[in-house]
Amino acid sequence: MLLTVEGLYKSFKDVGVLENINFQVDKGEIVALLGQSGAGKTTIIRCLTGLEKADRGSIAIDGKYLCKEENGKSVYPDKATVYAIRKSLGMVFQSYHLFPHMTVLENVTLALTQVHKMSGEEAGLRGTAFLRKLGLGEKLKANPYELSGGQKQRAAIARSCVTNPKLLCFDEPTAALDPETTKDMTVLIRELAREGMGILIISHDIPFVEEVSDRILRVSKGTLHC
Amino acid sequence: MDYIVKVLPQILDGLSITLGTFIITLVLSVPLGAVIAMCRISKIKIIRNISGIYTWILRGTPLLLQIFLIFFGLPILGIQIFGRLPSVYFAFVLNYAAYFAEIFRSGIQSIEKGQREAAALLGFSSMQINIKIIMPQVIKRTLPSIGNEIITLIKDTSLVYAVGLAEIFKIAKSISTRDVTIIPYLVVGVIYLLLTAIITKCIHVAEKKVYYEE
Repeated sequence: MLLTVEGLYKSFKDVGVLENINFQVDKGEIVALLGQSGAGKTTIIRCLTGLEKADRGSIAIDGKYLCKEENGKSVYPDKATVYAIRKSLGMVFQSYHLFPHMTVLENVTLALTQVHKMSGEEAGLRGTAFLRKLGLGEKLKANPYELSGGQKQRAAIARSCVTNPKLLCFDEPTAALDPETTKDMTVLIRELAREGMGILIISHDIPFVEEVSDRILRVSKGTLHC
Repeated sequence: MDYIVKVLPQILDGLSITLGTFIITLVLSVPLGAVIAMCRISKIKIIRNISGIYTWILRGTPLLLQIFLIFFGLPILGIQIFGRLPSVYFAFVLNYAAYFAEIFRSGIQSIEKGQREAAALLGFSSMQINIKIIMPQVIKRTLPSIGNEIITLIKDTSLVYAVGLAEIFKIAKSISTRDVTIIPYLVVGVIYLLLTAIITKCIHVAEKKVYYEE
């Protein structure tokens, strides 16, 4: 199993946000967490990516524990291990968070050269290939502000996918897209899953998740319903 | 005109102190300001509080008072480590670092949290995030404010006359008293204007270099 979440609890200042969350995502599977705003979807994904620390419960990604429950508390490994586990993860944010001071190609290649220590030439070739595949071949030297919403999202996907993550998380991927671009996004996400990537989507867009996902989990008031 | 030609070399003799104070303050206070800015946003409360008190005191009292306290006050307390010029440099660096720290702090805090999170999820270390992602954006956003501080700094160097150092303003004052004329002051005014014009141009070039559309 690619992702296993067991008994996840999270609260902010004594206000419970997540309660006993359990689910799994397999390789090549598209799973959607569907729920209204404030249901706890984003908190789940932030715990999975290590951006928030869980109070209780375990999270394992590709067989490695990001956190493990011990004596009723989630225990995290050292920073180096967390960094290593994060390399198996990709995340496409709702607001994309492209780096505004870099070109689209630099956005995509920076992690390859700085984190994965690839040569500039090799990273450039790989980044260019990814961007071409996503239809951004003509925007390599453009700055993020020059891109449309759909293009920004594809650039963000390229940036996350170029390092070959095993699990790719999408936070509200259709929130800023028109119906036509949403269809393109559905095709693209399916293609990524076909290549063996596990996909976790959080969304409140019911038609989109019904169209794209293999499995839908409903999140309501911090609990999960299959 | 002949009078200006006659007094100009005397006034320019003080330029080394003016420019020396300017350059040393700039070179030392910018990195110190960056360190204090990091302390101001530290997760450790005591570090946050100490750096907060530092900036409050240094920005809340006149630079002239700080120069006096360091030059005259420290020897009274038995601390005799500074000469005239190093005392001035010390006061200027401490004072300007506090201002730069607040500019950097506001710049860092203006960068949306998602930039840091996106970089963290790409596997960047905290150091790489700060250097590659945050700093370039902070520099772009804070450069206009930094430019203002630098222009203020060149004018503030005239305060060193208070401890008897012969920078351009003090020399002009002496000549003015001796010759009973305000022309030396006008000459000094033009020198300051030329210096600020050069600095303004440099800042403008730097702003253009780091500019990007958001």
